[in-house]
Amino acid sequence: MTELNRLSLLTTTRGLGRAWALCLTGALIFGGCADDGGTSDGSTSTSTSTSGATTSGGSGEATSEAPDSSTSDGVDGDPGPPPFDLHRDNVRLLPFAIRHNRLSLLLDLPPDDPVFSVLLARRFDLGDYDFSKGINPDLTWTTSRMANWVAAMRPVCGSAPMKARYPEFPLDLAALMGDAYGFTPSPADLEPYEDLLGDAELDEATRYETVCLAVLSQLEFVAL
Amino acid sequence: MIGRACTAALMSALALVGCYSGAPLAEGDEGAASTGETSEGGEAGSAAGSTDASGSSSSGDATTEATTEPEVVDPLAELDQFSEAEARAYLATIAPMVVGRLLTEAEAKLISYYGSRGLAGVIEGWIEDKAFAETARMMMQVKLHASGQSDEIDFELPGNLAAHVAAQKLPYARLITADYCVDGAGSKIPCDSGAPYTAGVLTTRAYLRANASRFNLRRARRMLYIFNCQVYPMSSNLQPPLEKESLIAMFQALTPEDQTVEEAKSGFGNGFACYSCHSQFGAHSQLFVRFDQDGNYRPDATGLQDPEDELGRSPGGLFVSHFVDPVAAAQEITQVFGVPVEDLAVAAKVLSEDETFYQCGARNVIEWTFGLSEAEAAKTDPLLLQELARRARARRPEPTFGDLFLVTLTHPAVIDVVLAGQGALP
Repeated sequence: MTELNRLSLLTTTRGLGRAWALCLTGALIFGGCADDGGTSDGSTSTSTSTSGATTSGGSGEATSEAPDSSTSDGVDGDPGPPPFDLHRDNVRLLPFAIRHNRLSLLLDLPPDDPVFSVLLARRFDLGDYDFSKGINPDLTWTTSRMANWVAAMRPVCGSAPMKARYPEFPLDLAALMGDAYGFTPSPADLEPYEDLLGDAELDEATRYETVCLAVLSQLEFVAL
Repeated sequence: MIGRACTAALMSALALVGCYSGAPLAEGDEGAASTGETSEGGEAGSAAGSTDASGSSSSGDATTEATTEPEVVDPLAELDQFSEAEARAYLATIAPMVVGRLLTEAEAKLISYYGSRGLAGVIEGWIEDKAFAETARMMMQVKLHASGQSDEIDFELPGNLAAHVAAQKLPYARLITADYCVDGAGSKIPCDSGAPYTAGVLTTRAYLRANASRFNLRRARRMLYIFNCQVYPMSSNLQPPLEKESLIAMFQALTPEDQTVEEAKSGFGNGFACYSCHSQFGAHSQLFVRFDQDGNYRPDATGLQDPEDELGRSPGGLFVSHFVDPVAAAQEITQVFGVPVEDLAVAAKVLSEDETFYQCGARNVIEWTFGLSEAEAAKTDPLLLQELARRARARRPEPTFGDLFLVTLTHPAVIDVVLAGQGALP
């Protein structure tokens, strides 16, 4: 079984859309993703609703459009239209500083720890802003941004603090997911990882990194 | 990792529960009092209150048209309609954008203990969190397009002030009425434009440079949009138009035939109906006539067209006034929302006292918390914003950043929107 196929097994994980999983695979194996229509590199658009985000089931919970009440006629008992729309038809990343902070809290490391050096070096590729340099925030989840995120997570996943806190998978998978996402994963949340974890062809280091990258790249961790 | 720290946090959070009853805060329970700020907030609060009660000034949208007394509600009792699971799910959704982290175990326990009413206590606790000031910083950096450093300009000044205002629980209005700036260490410093007055972020070179444009249109437009959520043309009840004859010729045109300026004949800007917008633009852009393109205050500004430069540019890196009279063109005197003002600082006070100011503040909270674009946030129901502003000002005459976040994020209609997107919860 190829690494591509192994990662593809994760496509049913909550919030891990098929397009994203395939892209993650591409990023891991080829160092980049085939553009699936995402916003091109270097975009300085502040829009978060461009078509580049993964939409095929990639938004996970809290990301669907407003329910039928939006078309309610307001008759008795009906709440009427919602006062605003979350516009969750496209994925929106958390601001870079918040993603960075979540990683820092997860590993209980200072934000400037060397573990985050790749993350910080690629901060503008990951959507951060510096208006003094004319760089606007961009919270779209494009294929190139996914690849950059995975690259930035590799030193995190390979770090001593990560391995100290979560020494082995599957034993510590639920703990990692729980600490990263803020909820105890259900069997359904863990199920997509089972084949990957049971694959005898994978060496331990590859298995560990693959699982860790998948967990930290899920929308539950990086997106609104 | 949890243990003692979480226990302390839980105790702290428990102590906060019940604080948010919707009742006005006790007199003196304002950040200003505890941080050595002067009592100027009280004056502004009184003035603001006068517009709130009558709703007399109109913003041009539906937010100002209520004429009946709003129903008094108990914000805590309103939360009873939500289950514990819903309250936890809602808080877990918004926590990253408000405090940059997940819901803590202590906060989750608070919901278990108090049910959905604990939601208000958790958010009150967030407002005390150091991270909340950083949220205010980021929110205003993005709104103002100001962050970072250049060789000449500290683009962090607006964000520093926002973080300071949030951390010290000062009125949200201080963003544009503070008579000081704040450095990276949190100390008060003079602002950097060199103007003889200060209007918070509006008199930072960061704002002025980032929004410099011909005729000072962008500076005026962003000021009105960010702080009062107004676009041109706005209601003439809110912003009375300038007399046609007071404007330079190109802005007097209402039709293509009216246009006498060659450069504008092709539909300069947004079309031919120049007067409808610029009769209001002119009043606001005049406030910036003495700030050059780099944000430096220039008392020698004339506001007149540089014959050697492109339309809208005045000599010395300055921008052209809308006023045709050369004396008026060089002055900062104008009117904002029908109130005569002598400079940007006075104008900022007028903006902050209009009822649209806190409605807009609530909209900014929604925009930030839910990651909406400005265009998406602009579609927020004005009646909700009106209610959120009313609730914020019921807490205190000059609401803080924290007040705006609290009343917005505990409003059932806001919670409903989030939960509706999450589907069925256990």
